[in-house]
Amino acid sequence: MSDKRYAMVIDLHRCVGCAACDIACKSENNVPVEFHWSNHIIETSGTFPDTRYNYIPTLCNHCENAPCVTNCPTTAMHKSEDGLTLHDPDKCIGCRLCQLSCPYGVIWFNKEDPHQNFMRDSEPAIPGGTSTGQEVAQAADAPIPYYNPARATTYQGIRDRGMVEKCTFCDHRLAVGEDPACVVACPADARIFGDLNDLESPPSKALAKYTPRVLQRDQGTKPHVFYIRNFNK
Amino acid sequence: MDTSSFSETQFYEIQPGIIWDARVAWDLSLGGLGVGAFLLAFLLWCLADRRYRPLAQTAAVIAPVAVAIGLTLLFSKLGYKFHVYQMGLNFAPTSIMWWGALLQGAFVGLSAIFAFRLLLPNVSLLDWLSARRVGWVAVPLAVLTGLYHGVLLAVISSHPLWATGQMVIASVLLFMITGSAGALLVHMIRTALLGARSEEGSLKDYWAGLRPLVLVMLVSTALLLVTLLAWWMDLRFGPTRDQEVITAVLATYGSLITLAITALVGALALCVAALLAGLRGRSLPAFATAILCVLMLGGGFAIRYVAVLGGQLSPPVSTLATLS
Repeated sequence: MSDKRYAMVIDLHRCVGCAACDIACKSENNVPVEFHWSNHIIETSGTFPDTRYNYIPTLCNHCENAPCVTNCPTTAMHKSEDGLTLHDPDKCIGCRLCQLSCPYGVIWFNKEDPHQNFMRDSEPAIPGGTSTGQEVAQAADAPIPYYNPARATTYQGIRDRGMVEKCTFCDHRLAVGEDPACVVACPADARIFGDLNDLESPPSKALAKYTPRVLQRDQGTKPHVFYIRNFNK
Repeated sequence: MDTSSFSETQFYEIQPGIIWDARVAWDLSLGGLGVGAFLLAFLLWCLADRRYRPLAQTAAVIAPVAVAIGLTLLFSKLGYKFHVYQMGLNFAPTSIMWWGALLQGAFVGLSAIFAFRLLLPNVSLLDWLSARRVGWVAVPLAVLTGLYHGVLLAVISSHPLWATGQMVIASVLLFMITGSAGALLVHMIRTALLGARSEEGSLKDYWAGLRPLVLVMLVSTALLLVTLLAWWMDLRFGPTRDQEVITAVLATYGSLITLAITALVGALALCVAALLAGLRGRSLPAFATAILCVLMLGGGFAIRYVAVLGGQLSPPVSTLATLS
């Protein structure tokens, strides 16, 4: 039994809204272009010149009371010993009940074979000057040009058609002692990741110092992604 | 200087579209019809006299067939069908769908045996499985299956249209209405095509004997209409999110909801007419009874359809306001 309880704290005061987390996640996890394991909410409001632009990064909340896990009829969606909400494609039947159950809209379903945009990329950007995506993939002996084989160590490298997929907190990186890709990529150190059972861990300290907030608290899911501070303080 | 005011703009890209399509609505409708038909068959077989045995047989045959067709439609919707056996290999007691798969599988099997015993009572095969024995085991399964069709959606708390008690109550009332209407309609068609059985006696006496069934259909339909009103009120006067959902549902499916309610009110009126005619020693013409059944089936399906698809119209979205 693991004694870890992973969580992420997002410091909204530090976040600059650059979306580097989103790009890093796509690259690390071979996420199709149209999916967003790492995502964000943008809200713009006010009357010029008194306008506000707010940006909140989002991802799977790895909820303690995860409705996707509770409702999954095959236990494909499950909790790991260290508190991660993970998906086992060998058990998934593609019923999409997890997608319906998730209040955060962070589970994605492969209606078609993923990365079809790449498969259709048969024209080089500069004829005679650049290769097509297909040619690059063939030269690299990879299923797609931007394929990361490390992802396949704990999950399908590219998920099958008919399956759901979601953020895993980069469990393949955690397994080798590294932080999730979005945490590493953040240029403002706005993402604080670690073990909540360790009171000296960065997220524990951050939660002790600032009042944590979560999305849709009323759903009672007990998210493990917390938000601290605000944009202007 | 542009001083135009921004209404709050939100951009949050989640996977668009309907996740559970019309096939799920058909599954729930046919499942409800099957469950209701089975209960009618069992009650007629246990309580009614012999002239209603043919109707019981018809209802008994409808039960496993309707539920099995519904399950087939649901199966066709699965993204990864070859893994469906995983539901049998994995123990998922917190999942209503897992329980539903067990219940419906068992119900289809038992109701098929029940239909077999009713159709061919003298065949020695499966002799130890008497209709009465199988029926009594299948009755609680039927009720649980009928409840399951509502609970499956009601436990999804992120969808306000579904996460209500009315969802479950409507589901139960719908199986009582559509099961009886479906069985009656199919039996009338069968009678029209093949002729009435000798034991069914005169048409007038036959329908007079079915007065309790018409009364049950009337009460169920009236209760369903009250439930729909309560459902609307619950959302309309609920939190902002609930109000947004009911507004979206009415804007998209307003015409269909109007048709469904009109059909159910029409069916209600015909039930009253049938009972009044019975009190005067007369019976409704066959075509009016058929229309009554069609109205109940059509109205019932429309309600299920709107519930399944309408519930997904306004997907759960996180906003700044939900950060607390």
